[in-house]
Amino acid sequence: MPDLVPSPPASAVTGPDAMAYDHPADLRVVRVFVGDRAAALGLPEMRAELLVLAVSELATNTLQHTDGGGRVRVWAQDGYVVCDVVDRGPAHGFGRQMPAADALRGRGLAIVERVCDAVEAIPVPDGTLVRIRLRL
Amino acid sequence: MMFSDPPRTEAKRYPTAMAHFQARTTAGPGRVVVTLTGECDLEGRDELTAMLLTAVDSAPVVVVDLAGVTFIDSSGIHGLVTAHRAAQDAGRRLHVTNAGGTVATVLEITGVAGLLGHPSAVVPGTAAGEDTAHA
Repeated sequence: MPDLVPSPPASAVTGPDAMAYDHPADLRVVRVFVGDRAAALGLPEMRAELLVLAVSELATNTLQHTDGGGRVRVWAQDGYVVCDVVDRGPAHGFGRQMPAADALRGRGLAIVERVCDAVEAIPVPDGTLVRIRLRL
Repeated sequence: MMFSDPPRTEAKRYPTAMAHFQARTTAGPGRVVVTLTGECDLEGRDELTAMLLTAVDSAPVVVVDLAGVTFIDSSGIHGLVTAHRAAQDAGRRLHVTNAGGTVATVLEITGVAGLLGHPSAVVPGTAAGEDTAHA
């Protein structure tokens, strides 16, 4: 497994491999950004759509459960497309089962776990970093 | 349990200034078909839910045609399940049909495909627009 939290490259804050979001209208912009990045990094279209879905769920989680926005960055490392979603929320409870089909809530993070090859939640100063990977 | 449905087919368009989806509701005898297009995410969740609840109020069977939906996540699923539960409470039914690609994947992994899948794979007329009026 690659190292957990490498220092973010400078480009992760303002460069073309990162973007910030803080409003529901930003979600579709995040999806376009992640889809374009995934395609540029060589992730096949169907898997790129799964990555886009996972990131959209994580960003939605930020907007629903924290009082601020978040930041997304996407890169490739060791045969994976890696995506970090950072926000000011508490640690996520991964390892959860998919709720019952007729449940009203609780699907977002379960969907992330189902569609990604790996998911990690890492505490960072003032928040949480969720790192997801899909094999190239 | 047939209700006195309007004898003609009606089409209503729900323009969505905020959300990037559109819904067209087509009423027929005993059912309405809600044809969704675009992206069903948090931005349009409340609007989608309200529109589906209105559809459930209007007919004993609601068929939600997802052929034109390019993205759905847990927010969109929330709207579908909320409307399903309202339908169930009222002794009515809500189905989804024609999901493709990653939209179908989301329905499968959440179990919603099994919960709301239409008994027949394709509802006659929904994909081809045979019995839908054009707005």
